[in-house]
Amino acid sequence: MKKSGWMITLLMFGCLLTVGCHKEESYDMQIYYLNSEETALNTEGYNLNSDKAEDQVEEVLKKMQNPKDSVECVPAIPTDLMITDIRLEDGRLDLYFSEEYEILDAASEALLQAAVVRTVTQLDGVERVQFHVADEVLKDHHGNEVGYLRSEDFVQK
Amino acid sequence: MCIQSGELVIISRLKRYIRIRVFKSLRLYITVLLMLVGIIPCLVLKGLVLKSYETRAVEVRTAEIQNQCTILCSQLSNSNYQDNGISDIIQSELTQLANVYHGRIMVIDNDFCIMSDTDDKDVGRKMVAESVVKCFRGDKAFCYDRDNRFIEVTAPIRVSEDSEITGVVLVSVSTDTIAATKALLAKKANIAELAIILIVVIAAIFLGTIMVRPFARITRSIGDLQDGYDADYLHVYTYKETTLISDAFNQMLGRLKKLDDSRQEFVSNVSHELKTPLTSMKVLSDSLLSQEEVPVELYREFMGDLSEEIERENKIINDLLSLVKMDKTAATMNIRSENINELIEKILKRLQPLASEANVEVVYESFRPVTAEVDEVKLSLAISNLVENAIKYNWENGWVHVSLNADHKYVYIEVADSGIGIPETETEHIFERFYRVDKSHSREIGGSGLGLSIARNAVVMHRGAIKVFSQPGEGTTFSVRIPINYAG
Repeated sequence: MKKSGWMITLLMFGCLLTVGCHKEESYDMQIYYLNSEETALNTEGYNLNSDKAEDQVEEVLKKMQNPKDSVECVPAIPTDLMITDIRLEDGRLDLYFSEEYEILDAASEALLQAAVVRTVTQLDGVERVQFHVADEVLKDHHGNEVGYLRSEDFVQK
Repeated sequence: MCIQSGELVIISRLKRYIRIRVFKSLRLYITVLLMLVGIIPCLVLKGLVLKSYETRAVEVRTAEIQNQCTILCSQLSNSNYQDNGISDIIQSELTQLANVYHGRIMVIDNDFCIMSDTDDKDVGRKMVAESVVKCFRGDKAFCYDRDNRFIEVTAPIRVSEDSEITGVVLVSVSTDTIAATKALLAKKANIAELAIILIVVIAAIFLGTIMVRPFARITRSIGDLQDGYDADYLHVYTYKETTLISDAFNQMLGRLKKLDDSRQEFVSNVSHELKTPLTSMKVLSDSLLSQEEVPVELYREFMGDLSEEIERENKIINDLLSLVKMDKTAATMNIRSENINELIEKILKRLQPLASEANVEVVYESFRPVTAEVDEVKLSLAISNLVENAIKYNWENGWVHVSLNADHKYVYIEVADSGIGIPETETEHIFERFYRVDKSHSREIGGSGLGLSIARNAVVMHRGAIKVFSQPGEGTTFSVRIPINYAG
């Protein structure tokens, strides 16, 4: 009698363990967000709905501003920042941001760039991204054009 | 009737053997305890020392790196690197530093662009690591990644404390050397630990065996005790505990001896007491038989004496029987609510002839009517014994004073006499069986020597108390206290 009691306990324990395990679901892609302190990047799995490349870009960018878990994931694109235009050609994506982009501090800007580029380059139709602010190409502090950024251009160690 | 299956018997016997021989062994406990006490602190110490070495080494290394960082940062901010780029001097310094510490140094500008990388891998890329972001926000920090073995330090480049952060220096150095030293220390510690464990185990087994030897000695001694009760038999005085056991055992032996002695004495006393009337009877009857032409009066006289002796023998046997019965029926008390006044009056009435014959005046004083829960037979026996003694051990024209009193809890009966008294040294012993203070007069006084023993037994069975106070030559007073409600 005692032996069977032990077996049952062990079995139940085993079941508990498997239940506790987080099942790794496979998503189409990972969308990048910021962590709650806005100091690093977090990802969430996402399944695409659209088929055409441009629609996918739009869908994904919209999703970036609406995370599922709004506690752990903060949108990398702040809500007051608008994407005024999206142009996709030959794997090169041009994103046009509104003026509010200028308000971003260096860190937020870098994180936004990293999140957008990393997210969007997962799509088949996108290889590199160039940022525009208020219809002008983004320039760095020295006045040089930033140019097209790829996923490899961002290092996280 | 079920017969235990063979295997079950073996298993249960084995279990019992293990349980008793192995698990309940003090020796095992001592051995295991000593081993744990020796080994666990050892392990704990090793862990603590290694951990604290690691912590300290990391602290020192981090402080060094942070120092170097501060120097670098001030050099960079003074050199106006944002516009001119990183000068060769500083670059070579970076390389040198990276080599010395087996690490990697990156300089990141405020576009998050990597300006310089001593690994020459990521120049031009954007660095968005969390530590860099935090540093740009003013949260300069360092972290130690034990699993991947590196320390990461970030430092902001700024002209002065309050000015803007123009860039960040990110240094990550390998802690391989620390890990290697720790491994070496651990190896040495392990060897030492093994040695200690070995010594501790041997010592524990040795001590375990030695420490429980006195107990084995005790067991053997007790086992060897065959006959006789030598009161100083066991002396295993190794530990306080065994000393206590030895003393208690010796005391028990002493008590047993006393008991045995008193039993032997009892038997010899009984035989003697029983024989004496028989001897008288034999003498009387023999002398009667040996005479010829004996007048009837002589026969009558001798018959009277014989009758007396038989009576005496009877009394002794009765007393013995009641004593034995009292021992046996200690548990069965026939408790009923009795009027104590009437009980005492009955006793005194019965003993009146004895009193008048001895010329002793018996006075009864009852302060209040008392009813109590008692066993009538036993209590009567006790009180009548006391009164009889008071009459017997008295002078001519002496008195016996019986008094009865009670409060809400107890009944107090006092039997006082003006008799020969009892010396103080003897008062402890008078309640013992067959004890006579003055053995020389025992035949004249009569009785069996069991009266007080019987009385005390009866009182004790009622959960009462009996005390004696006496002045030799003046008199004796026995005080009996019985609870009104029998407390079971």
